[in-house]
Amino acid sequence: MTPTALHLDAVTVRFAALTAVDRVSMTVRRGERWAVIGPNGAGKTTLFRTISGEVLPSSGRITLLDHDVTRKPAYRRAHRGLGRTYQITNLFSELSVVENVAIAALGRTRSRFRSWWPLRMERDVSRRAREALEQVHLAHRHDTPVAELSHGEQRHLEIAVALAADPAVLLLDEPAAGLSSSERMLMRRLITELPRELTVVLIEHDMNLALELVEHVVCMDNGETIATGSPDEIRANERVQAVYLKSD
Amino acid sequence: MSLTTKVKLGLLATGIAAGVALPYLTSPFIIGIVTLALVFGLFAMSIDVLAGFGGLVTVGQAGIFAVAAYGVGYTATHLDGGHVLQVAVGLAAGIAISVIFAIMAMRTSGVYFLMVTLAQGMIVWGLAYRLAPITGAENGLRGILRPPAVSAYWTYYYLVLAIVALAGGLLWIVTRSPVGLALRGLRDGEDRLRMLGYNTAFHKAYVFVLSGLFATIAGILYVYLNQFISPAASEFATSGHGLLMAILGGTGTLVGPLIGAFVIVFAENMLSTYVERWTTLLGAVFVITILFARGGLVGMLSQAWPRVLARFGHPAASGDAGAGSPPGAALDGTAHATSNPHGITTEDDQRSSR
Repeated sequence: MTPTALHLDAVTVRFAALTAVDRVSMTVRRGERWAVIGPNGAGKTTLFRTISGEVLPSSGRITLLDHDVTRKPAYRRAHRGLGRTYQITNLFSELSVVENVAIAALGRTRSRFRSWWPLRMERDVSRRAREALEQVHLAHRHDTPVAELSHGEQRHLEIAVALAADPAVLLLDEPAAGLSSSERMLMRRLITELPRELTVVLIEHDMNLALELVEHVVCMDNGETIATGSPDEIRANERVQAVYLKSD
Repeated sequence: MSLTTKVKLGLLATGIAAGVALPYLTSPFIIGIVTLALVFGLFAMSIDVLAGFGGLVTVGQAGIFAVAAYGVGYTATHLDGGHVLQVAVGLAAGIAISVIFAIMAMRTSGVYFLMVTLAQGMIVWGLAYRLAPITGAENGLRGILRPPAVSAYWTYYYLVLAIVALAGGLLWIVTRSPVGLALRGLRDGEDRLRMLGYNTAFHKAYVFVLSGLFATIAGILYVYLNQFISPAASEFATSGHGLLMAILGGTGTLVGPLIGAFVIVFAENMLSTYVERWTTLLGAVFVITILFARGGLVGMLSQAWPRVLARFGHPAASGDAGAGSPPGAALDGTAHATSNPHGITTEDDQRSSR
C-alpha cells in the first residue's frame, strides 16, 4: 500500500464556544489528489491553517509523512515537506518575482543562515527558482516586481513559491479565487501538470472545478465532515447536494 | 556596466578620495565633526539593518551603543586594562547585551517590538545612573585615552573612516546575502516566511545581534572619540537621533543613514552657531521629509536620476535602473528599490552573459 502523506485523526479546533473544525479525520496517501469542499464557514480554511501549523488543534492528531506534527510550529512542518498557498494572495509584495521564489527555495536549506555570502552564489537556489517559475509559466517575468503582476499571474506565483520550497504535500487554498474563466482554465491546467509524486490537497469553492482535479473529496459543513468519497460519489450524495442547495 | 553603476562607482571613488584628502583640506574642528558623523553614520546603519530592511523599528539601540562604550570606559578607568583588553571588553559587553535584548524581542513584532526596544534602552539608561561605581552616574567616566597610534585627531579620523568603510561594506554584503533576503521577507510577510520553513524568531534574533555588533563598534569608536562616556549616550534621544538619521537619509539603503548622520551632526554643530532655534529647523526638516520624501534624501535622488538621464537624452533614461525597476532603483541600488538587488540569475541569464 502507498505510504501515508498526511493523516488527520479526529482533529478539532475550538475558538471559545465555537467549534470551527469538529473531529475531522482523513488519510491522504502519497501522490493522491484530494479536495476539501463545502459552503462558506464550513471550516475548510481553518482546517488548512491547522494542518499547516498556524492554528493548533484543541484535540486530535496530525501526522505528516509518518511524523506527528500536531504540536509542531509551522516552520518545522515546512521542513517536513509541507507547503501551502493562500486564498488571498500572500506574496512578498516588495520583492521581485524571482526573489519570491528564491526566498522559498532557501527556506529548507542551511543557506538561509548565510550572511557573509552573496545570494547570487547560491546556484542551487537559482536553479530551483528558475524551475519553479518555468513550471508556472512565469520565467519571462523573472525580474518584475510583484506589484506589477496581474492577479492571475500572482496566483500562479503563489504556486511557484510553494513549489520552490520543494514540498511533498501541497495545500492549495482556493487557487482559482478571483480568476476570470480563461484564467481558471490556465490554473486548472497548471494544477493538472503538477508532478504526480506531489500530494495535493486543495480547497475550492467551485465544486465543478474541484471535482475535475482530484480523485478524493471531503465535504465539510459547520466544521464537520459530512461526506467522503470519489467525485462521482460526492456528486451523487444527497447531503452534499442539500448543503450546496442551502448555501445557494 | 550600466551608466547607473558607473555613476555609483564614481560617487564611491569620489567619496573615498574626499575622505582620504579631508585632513589636508580642512580644520581640526571640521575633522572632529566628520569623525562624529561617521561614528553616528555607522550607528544609524546598524538601525537601518533592522528598521529599513527588516521593518523592525528599534528605539533602544543606544542601549547597546552605550553598554559597549561603558565596557571600554570601565576597563580603561577602573581596571587599568590595555587597549586590546578595553576593546575586547567593549565588544563582549555590546554583543552580550545584544544577545539578551534579542532574546527579549525575538517573539514580538510591530509596535510591540518597538515598545520592547524602548524599554531596553530605558533600562540601560536607568542603570547608567544607578550603577555609579561602574558608570560614574551623571559624572560619567573620564580619561579614556585613545591608543597611542591614533591619539592625534587626524589619525583617529583615518581609523574611524577605515572601520566605517569596512563595516559599511560588510553590512552591504549582509543585505545581499540569503539572510538579507530573509530579512526583507520578514518585513513583507512574517507569517508567509514561517510557512516557508523560516524560524522567524531565530532570524530576528540573529539579525538583532548582527545589528547590535555594528552598534557596539560605533559605541567603541564614540567613547574613544570623546574620551568620555556619560548616561546621555544611552538615553532615548540618542536612539531617536539614529532612527531620524536613517529616515532622513533613506531607510533600507545603508548609504542613506550615513548621509542623514552627516546632515544632522553638521546641523547640530554648525547650524547651532548661527540659528538659535536650530532644533525647530531640524524638526521642520524631518516633518517635510516624512510628508514629502518618504524615501529620504537617497530616495529623492533616486527618483530624480531618470529625469537627469532624460534631460541629457540618455537612451537608458527609461530603464537604466534595470528592467522593471520601480522609480528609486537608480542611485541607492539596494534592498527595496531594485527589482533584483541580489542578482539572482537564471541559466538563460548566464548563457547570455557567456
